[in-house]
Amino acid sequence: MQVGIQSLGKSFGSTRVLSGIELEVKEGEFCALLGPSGSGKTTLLRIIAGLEFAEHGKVLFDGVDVANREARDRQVGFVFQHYALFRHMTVHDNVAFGLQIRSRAKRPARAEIDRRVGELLELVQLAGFEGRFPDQLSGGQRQRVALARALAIEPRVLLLDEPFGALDARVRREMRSWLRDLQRKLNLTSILVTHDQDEALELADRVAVMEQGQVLQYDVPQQVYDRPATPAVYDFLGGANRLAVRVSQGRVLLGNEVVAVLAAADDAAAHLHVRSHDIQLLAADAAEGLQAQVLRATWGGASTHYDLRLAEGSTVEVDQPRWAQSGQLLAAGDAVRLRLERFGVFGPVAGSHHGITG
Amino acid sequence: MASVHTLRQQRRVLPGFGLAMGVTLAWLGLIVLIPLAALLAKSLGNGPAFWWKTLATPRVAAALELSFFSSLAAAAVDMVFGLIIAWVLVRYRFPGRRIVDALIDLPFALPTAVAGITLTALYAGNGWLGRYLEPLGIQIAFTRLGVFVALVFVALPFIVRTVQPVLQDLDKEYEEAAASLGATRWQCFWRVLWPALLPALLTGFTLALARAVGEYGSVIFIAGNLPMVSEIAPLLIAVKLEQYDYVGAAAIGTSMLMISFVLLLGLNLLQRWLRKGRL
Amino acid sequence: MSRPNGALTESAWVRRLLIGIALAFFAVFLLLPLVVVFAEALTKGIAPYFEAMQEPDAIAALKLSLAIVAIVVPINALCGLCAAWAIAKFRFAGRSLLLALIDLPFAVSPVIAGLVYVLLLGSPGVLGPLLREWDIQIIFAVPGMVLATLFVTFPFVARELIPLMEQQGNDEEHAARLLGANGLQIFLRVTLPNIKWALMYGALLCGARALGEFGAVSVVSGHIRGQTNTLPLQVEILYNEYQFQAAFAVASMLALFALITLAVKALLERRYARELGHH
Repeated sequence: MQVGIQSLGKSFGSTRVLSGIELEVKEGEFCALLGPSGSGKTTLLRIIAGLEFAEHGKVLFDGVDVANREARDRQVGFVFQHYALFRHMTVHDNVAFGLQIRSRAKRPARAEIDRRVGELLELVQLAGFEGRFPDQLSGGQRQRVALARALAIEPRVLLLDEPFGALDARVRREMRSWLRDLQRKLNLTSILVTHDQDEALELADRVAVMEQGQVLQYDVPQQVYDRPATPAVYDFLGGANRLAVRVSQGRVLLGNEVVAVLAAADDAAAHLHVRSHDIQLLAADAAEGLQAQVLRATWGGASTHYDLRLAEGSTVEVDQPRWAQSGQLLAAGDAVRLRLERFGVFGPVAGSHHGITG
Repeated sequence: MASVHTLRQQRRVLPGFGLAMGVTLAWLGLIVLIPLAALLAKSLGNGPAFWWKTLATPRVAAALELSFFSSLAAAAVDMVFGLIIAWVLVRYRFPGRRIVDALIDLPFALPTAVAGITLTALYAGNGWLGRYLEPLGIQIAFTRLGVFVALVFVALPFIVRTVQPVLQDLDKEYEEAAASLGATRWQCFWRVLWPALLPALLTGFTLALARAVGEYGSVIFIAGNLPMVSEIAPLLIAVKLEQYDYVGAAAIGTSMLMISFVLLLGLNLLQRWLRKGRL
Repeated sequence: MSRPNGALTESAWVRRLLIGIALAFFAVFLLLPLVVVFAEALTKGIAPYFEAMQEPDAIAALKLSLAIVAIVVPINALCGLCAAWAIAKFRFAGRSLLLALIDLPFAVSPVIAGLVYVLLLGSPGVLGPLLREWDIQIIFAVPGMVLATLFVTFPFVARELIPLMEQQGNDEEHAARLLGANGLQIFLRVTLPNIKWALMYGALLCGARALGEFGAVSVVSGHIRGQTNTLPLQVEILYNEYQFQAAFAVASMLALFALITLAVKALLERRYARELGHH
């Protein structure tokens, strides 16, 4: 099923939590709503489910506005952050609930329900757990029961609210690829809410980056990561350095040094964003690169973290991967040169420009 | 558009709000609010001057004074012993602890009339305890002291049961932190535990006071009910009713409610101030 | 001998002193009265004890008491359930006022609880003339006693359920809704199983209080033996007639009910602490 959100807005009292939301999730697509807490992503998900109501705008399921339809009539599968399993029911009864409560005319026969529950538990790799109670399961198992329960009603769309939030790091990673495969297999339109960028980028076909009730960018993960639409997206994805620059006749100037040349840009003050791992450290006597001095070096296993001061005065953070480290580590006081591999320039007038040097 | 907005905002995900709310308001209105309104109407119906005249008689004034002062005293005494009992129950292990814990609620569960005649049997001049106290010149039954003793009995669980859970939840880490900083046990208690317990103690005091002021059954048997001496306000209401003095009964009832309200409000404000200022 | 950290525990003699004070207070104020009830009831031996309990008036009082409990508990439980559903599951203007009003009866003296019904429905009351015209007797009759008991036991169930349901949140109900459940299905299959022990607990406290209520019922009862006397009123009558042994025999029956209540309460608290939302 296709999900469409059109010019949706909502406030709690005088606080605007969502405004002008436009979103289009295609049939079978996995969409991630990514943003910091308070960005309105969970509220948006709950509006799609019918657990909250927007003041204006449309929620379209296959082109039909369901904004005024009750939650129980929307046929959505919802996995709650803390699973919301019925604590006094067994795993079997939890999964069967959506079928058992149907009116007699629509209810499958008992044997049929048992068969479907068995299938679903097989699907979530919990066959044999029918008789357990939720408090006898681990976090990952509970999560899969919640998923099976949501799938039992054959939902038109699957909504997941921070589904991995309560799991520890190792289980989270396993669940992630498992969920990804399952979603592909079922070809079920799905929307996931998360504040974890790795999760969003890895799982989703398309990512909507949200902040302060707005969708800042909605695109495939590579685009969102490589070509952030706004400084905020840059900030949120992969902690970037932010440097004040000047754009003059297409050249981007940091102090007096030319950092990059842009095809077309008006002259203005601007900001350059560059991620700490998109900077290459060169020897102090290299022919190119920005001059800098090491303030502090922190060894960190996979990469070494440097705090540097540029010649014109601003500070920059750099992560140097292990393979790029030759010989001795740099120490405080050493001189180096920097090359910016990937960066973005954002100006008040100029809009955004992305550059790759080298 | 505006109407559409409000319509959508008013929507609720779960059903049954209207029904549940309707039943609640009907129940509250019929059982509590309308009858209380009848009390106010009756007592103030003849004008405030008439109301005041009823209250200003020495007998009524003495009864109100006795009710409120003996309740304050009983709640204060229970605050001390209730804290000790709660402390002992939470922090120490000793034989019979569970039975003591379960029986703390006896005054909740024991009908007040039973408590009343029992306390009288205990403290009367020829009673179980009275016979040893009387020779010492301590007379409890049929005096103001009897009122006080009965109220101490009635109000005790309120203190214990509000302090106990707070004491249980108090993380040992605070004390350990204080101890690691070189505090003595007494400093630990006074500077770390006491400020955390005080709000609960005050809540307990408030509940105990509210219950004691209105107490009837456990008091009237032991008090002797001498007008001007050991006659509590609730009893005076019952007396007025027996004499068909409905306006008088209503006037005493209203003034009891009003004094209680002011006291409880004051205690609530004190508590809010404590929360803001110290915790 | 190794000494524990002096800042984390009290010295042995302080400990012993505190336990001693707590146990002494407990013994004098709670345990002794309990012993006295049964001892006084048995002063003349076993046979008169059972005779007193088999008195026709005592039996009639027991029946009336149980009848009142059987009417009051279901009404207050059902309405308390409605109130808890409205208050805990929804947000609306005036919510905290409603909460305060539900607690109100606990702050009102039982005598005033009786008084308000006399003033509303009795012969001098607002509705008095109307009721007399239709020949409906409420005050000084059983209906009035039921109403007064409803008033004093009003908050028990709601008070137990509201914090628990707030703590449990709405997620399970929302999940059920999304799976297509209707209101009744949500309530019966999801909410009720989660709160059933708390409901029992509240009903238990409500029933115990209804059984033992004295002040409120005393005001509105006609005090007609065998007709409008509950057990606590029967205790009072016997006591005032100096039939002490009989009074204590009936009282011991009530004390036994109280002990059973406490035992069941302790059992529920221990077994279902989590389901009750207690500690």
